[in-house]
Amino acid sequence: MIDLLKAIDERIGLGIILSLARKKIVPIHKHSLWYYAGALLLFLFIIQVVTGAMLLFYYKPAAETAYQSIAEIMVKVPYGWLIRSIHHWASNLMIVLVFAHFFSTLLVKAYRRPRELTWLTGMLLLILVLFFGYSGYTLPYDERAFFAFNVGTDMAGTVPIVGKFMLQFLRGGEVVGTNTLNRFFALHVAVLPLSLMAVLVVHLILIQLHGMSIPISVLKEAEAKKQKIFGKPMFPHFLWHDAINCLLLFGVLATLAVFIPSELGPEIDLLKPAPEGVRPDWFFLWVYQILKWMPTYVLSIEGEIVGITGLIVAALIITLAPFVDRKSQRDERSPLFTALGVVSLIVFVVCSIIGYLS
Amino acid sequence: MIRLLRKTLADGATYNLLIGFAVMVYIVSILHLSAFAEESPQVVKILTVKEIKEEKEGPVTISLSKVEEARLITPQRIYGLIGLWAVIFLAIFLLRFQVKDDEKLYREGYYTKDVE
Repeated sequence: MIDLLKAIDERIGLGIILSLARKKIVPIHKHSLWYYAGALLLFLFIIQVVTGAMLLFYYKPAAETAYQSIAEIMVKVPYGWLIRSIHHWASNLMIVLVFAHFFSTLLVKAYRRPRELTWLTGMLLLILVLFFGYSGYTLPYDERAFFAFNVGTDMAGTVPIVGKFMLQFLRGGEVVGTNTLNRFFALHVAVLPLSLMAVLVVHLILIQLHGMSIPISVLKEAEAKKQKIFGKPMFPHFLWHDAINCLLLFGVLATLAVFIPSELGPEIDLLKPAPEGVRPDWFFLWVYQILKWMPTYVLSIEGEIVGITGLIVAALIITLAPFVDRKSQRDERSPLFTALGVVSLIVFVVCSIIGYLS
Repeated sequence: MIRLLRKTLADGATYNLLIGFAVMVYIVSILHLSAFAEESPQVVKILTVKEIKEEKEGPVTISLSKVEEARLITPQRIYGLIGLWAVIFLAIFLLRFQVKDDEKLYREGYYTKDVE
């Protein structure tokens, strides 16, 4: 066995890879818990790739066949219901975790120099994961998916300047139909996974290069007490903790899949009017609720356009936080950006709850 | 064979090529066999009246109630879940030894690397 390892080392430089992995040090302090989110997200992504590939064997992406192929997966394919349900719940948990990762990073100001690019790639990953969720939600092509197609592409259509182009590009024409389903399928199984993998690789390389960020409060505390902050090597020590977390997460996924299997709504009936209470999936409920509160016109401009523009501006400010938040860059406390993070979190949670209940 | 494998992995590039080639021949022969089997003449099959009727009616559509039935929680699913959790807890139990050992090393000051 040792000979075999030696031989592999000689050929692919296993030692270099291991020493690089050992070089990464995870700081140990009271906020170390947040460092686990990244590994869990990576684990969920792997689950999504595996279960997604399994579903691809049976899913038929056409308006006439998509719904029945999903029904077949649920009823006829051995363990099809389980694979689909795990795929469904893993995507939901991935979005929950990606938001938790985003808010924790924002609140502990982990975007400080020299991690600006890590933050920007992280924001890109967040957007990609949200689009992943939305495109996956529409693929069963049931009644709910049909209206999600309409509402979502309509929203994209209100974006200033590029809205009309986006609407036509996403729909593959003027109205929602087979072209729309084909486009969302292509996005879901090819464009988004490839983009996500590319950005993820850059994100991971940057984390490896700069190491984990330490919150300003921990740095100040250590400075005041004249203490040093110690860390553990990521490999193999933190990996054991990650393995335990991933095992638990897999158990939770399987439990959710068994007790609340993925649903399939009624088939599309184009002659029927839109059912009451059509809503987007939970992760876009906050956007939906904010737009719902907008008046029809704001200073003679359509309320929806104003709402979307406002949300884009807010998202841009948060994305550019590393370049705007000067205090954090000097390793000083920046209450303004802490407040911005807290307000964003409250808006996200409260609007989602109201959107769900209304 | 083992000696050959060890030698190959340790220093011989020629043996690597030979083994690679042998593996490739083996895989291709398996694939070829299966392809050949598909191309072989079909045995005459007698169709039943039911099968002919099904063929005429086209593909059977699965109703929403069937999907809802497939979503039901069955005892088998619960047993499967219990089994999975048992394996997970056993794995975590074993991993905890490693983690405890690791914590001990941490307390003993094994990790002296200063991060900042």
